Amino acid sequence: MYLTLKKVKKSFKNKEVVKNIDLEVARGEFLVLVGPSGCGKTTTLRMIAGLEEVSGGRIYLDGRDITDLPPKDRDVAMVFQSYALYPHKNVFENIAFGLRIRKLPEAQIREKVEKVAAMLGLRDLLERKPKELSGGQRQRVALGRAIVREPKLFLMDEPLSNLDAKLRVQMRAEIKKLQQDLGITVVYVTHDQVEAMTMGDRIAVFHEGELRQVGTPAEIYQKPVDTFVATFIGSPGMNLLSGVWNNDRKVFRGEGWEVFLNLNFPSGEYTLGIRPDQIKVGADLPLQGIIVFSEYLGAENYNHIMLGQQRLTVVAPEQGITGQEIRIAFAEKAVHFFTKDSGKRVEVAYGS
Amino acid sequence: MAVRTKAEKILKKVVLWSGFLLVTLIILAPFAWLFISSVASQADLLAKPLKFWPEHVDFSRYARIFSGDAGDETAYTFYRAMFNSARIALTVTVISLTAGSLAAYAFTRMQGNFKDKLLYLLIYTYMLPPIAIIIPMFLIMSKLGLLDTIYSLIIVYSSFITPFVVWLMRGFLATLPVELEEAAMVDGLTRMQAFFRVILPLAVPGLVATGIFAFLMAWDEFMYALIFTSSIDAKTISVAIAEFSGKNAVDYGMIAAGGVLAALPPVILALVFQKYIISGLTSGSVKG
Amino acid sequence: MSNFNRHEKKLPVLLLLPVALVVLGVVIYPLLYTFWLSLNNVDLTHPLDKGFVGLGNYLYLVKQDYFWGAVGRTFYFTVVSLILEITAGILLALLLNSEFAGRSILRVLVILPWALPTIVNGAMWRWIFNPEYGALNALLLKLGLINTYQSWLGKPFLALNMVILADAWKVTPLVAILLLAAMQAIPKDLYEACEVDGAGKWTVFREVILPYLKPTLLVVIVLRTMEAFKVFDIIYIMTRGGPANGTQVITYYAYQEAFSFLHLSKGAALSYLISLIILVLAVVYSRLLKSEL
Repeated sequence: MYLTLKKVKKSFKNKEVVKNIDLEVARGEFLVLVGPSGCGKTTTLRMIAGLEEVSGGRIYLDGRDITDLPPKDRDVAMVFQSYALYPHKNVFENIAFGLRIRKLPEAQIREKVEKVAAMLGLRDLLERKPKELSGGQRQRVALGRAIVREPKLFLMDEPLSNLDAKLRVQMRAEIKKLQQDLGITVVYVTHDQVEAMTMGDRIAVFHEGELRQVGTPAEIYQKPVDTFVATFIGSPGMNLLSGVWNNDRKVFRGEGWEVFLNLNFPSGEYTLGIRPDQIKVGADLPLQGIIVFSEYLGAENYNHIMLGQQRLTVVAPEQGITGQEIRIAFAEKAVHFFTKDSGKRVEVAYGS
Repeated sequence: MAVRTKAEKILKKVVLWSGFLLVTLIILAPFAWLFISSVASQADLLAKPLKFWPEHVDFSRYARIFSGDAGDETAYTFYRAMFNSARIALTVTVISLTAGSLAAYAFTRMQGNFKDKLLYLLIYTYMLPPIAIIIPMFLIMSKLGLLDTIYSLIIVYSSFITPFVVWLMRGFLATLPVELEEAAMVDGLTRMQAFFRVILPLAVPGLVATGIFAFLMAWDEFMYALIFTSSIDAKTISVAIAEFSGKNAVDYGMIAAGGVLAALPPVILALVFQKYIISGLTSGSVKG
Repeated sequence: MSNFNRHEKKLPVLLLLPVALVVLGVVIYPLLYTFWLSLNNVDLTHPLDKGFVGLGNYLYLVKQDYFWGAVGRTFYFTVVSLILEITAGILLALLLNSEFAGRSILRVLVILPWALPTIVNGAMWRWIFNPEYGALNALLLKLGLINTYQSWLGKPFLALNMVILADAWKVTPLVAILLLAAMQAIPKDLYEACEVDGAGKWTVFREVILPYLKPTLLVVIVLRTMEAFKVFDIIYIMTRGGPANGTQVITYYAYQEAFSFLHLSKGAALSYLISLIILVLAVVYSRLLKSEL
């Protein structure tokens, strides 16, 4: 494994903000750390960079224990959320800075910088200063500064959050393509789960300082390990309905409704989860709900319905009308179950 | 806290704390010595080798100054001079704050090139060295019979401190939103009423900082005071100290006492209002 | 900006009137009078010799060794003061900017020398430098750094340097505060980016901190140069221009001409030259401010 975090934790003044992280990243992998604000993902990234000291645990990069090394000796590059470009230097000098520190010969510096500039479409901007650049251009300069150093590891701290929506989508694809072309190892922090899902080879979901689940986007989407991951990933989030499962009658009863499912697991109180886009909608289906509100998005519609006394979001091709009746069904393969108190995933068997 | 090697961390601590000690020593030692000199006995002061810590501590010099005994020449001169300086500085502060704030207000609400030129004229006025106008001023004051009175100094000090007040207060008043007086005027006040009842109370922090600077400048001034005054009726404390230092004085302790007294008002003001001063210093001269 | 409307036409005039009067009466008129004086031959020791001499006084001065000596000393004072104050100021500002327990105490201490009146500062140091009873001599002797008591203010070149020291002691904290304000504007992640890029401490200072300090440093240089040309108080109290004119800077020289020797016109001419230099510096200063805005 290329980058390893072993039992890494961080406390600020008696408050534990990162609790016991074990993480492994393969060479050439694009790993995304995702979670809501304050969950510890940025702190973890900064610990990898050496900008924060670890309160416990070790960090290894390419076989070396870098835990006690200052940032400049770790051979990592970082792209900051605010880009942190040197305001008094032009684009060329900004990109060249890391190389100049390492005292590379002038000709080599020139060659490398121009190559990277061409790669990022910055050729014509080399003489400009940061304040003369747009947000997207500055972001590319920040990228260039990191790429040109050819470090062992790339760290990115929410690099796209200062860009407008359209640019963000475009840059997402560009960054991913760049990473694949150059084969660089990236640890990328974001709070946007769409970015995580589209960019990550694997995703690490953080919540309140803990690592809840690490896996490929498909794994996380299809087999979320608890209710937090289930609702955080995927948009709109997974529906969660609490109720009681009777394994003898094979019925799950919610508040004012019940559904028959051909599954086998112990009876008890559970939370049933089902994604809005995986609910079957049709005329003769067993469950009946009333549409409370319908959001029209063009290609899809989000219908917010009442099933008994519980709320549910259903994705449907046609727009619904408030008060309209809607008939839905849950397929066995689409349904997830979580324990009532801890919200952890419960494995169920299909059939009897 | 970024990761640092142990050696680096220790080095940093050592450097910071030794720097701290060095600076503290360099700043406090002269002050301390000044104070000690003012309460050490004459014998201790003239002893060789010098005793840094006096054997006898003696506050009598201060007593002499405050006794107001006209017979004790040096002490009495300091006594009168302190009062002269205080009267002058206070009066000038009031005058400059009043005229200056009103003018500053006009500047912030006025438009036009004329205003900008006038503003620059004011800056040049403030920066003008006393030497440039002191000869004619001396002659004028002489003709007006104001030489050797505190009024000559009050007039002259106001002339260069007021532009400074305008400069500082303008920056400060410009931060107050226009909507405030507009709301007040819509409510029925005239502009001047709005100024006094709405703007001025909000300008208090700026007034305090500026007032302190004005006081300090008036208290500190020397050249005009030297030329315009000669008797104890008008001499300022700066002149008094300069005079006794020069007269091959052997009463170093007394001069030290005078120095401590002369330093007390500005130093106390500076300590009490330090926050205002630091913000005033940084915004006034660099950003303008 | 809420402007004075039609009904208030008279108001701004009224508000500005006191200030305008003061400026005109107490500044412009005397300034012109000084100029007039400099063009004449007013000498109170020869009162009957009055007469217009045009630029005669200026030409006379420019031929004087005394004049150039004073100019040279003023330059020396300026340059050495600046070097001292900027170096010590940067170091002090870096110290004040660092996070450590003593920081708040330091920030208070640093105001003290600035608040001390110039004359008291001069008297204090004069006492410390006293050739027979001064604390500096006693201290250095005790530390074994000198063999006998020195006359710090008794030798011309030495005296000039000691005066510079005394003045720098008072001024450096102010410079440090101004530089500190500039330092605090530096965004934190710029330091971090520089470190991750591989920079050591000195490189961080040169590439991150120094560029932010440059504008303030320029302002400091211009302001302090102006002050150095005006310097008078501390010279008067510490050395009275001596010994052997060793500390006779240009303003002191003008004072002597006018008030000691009573050569009013020559004093006026000198004053005018000094004012012109300061005017040029003031223009530079306001240009600098404008470019920063």
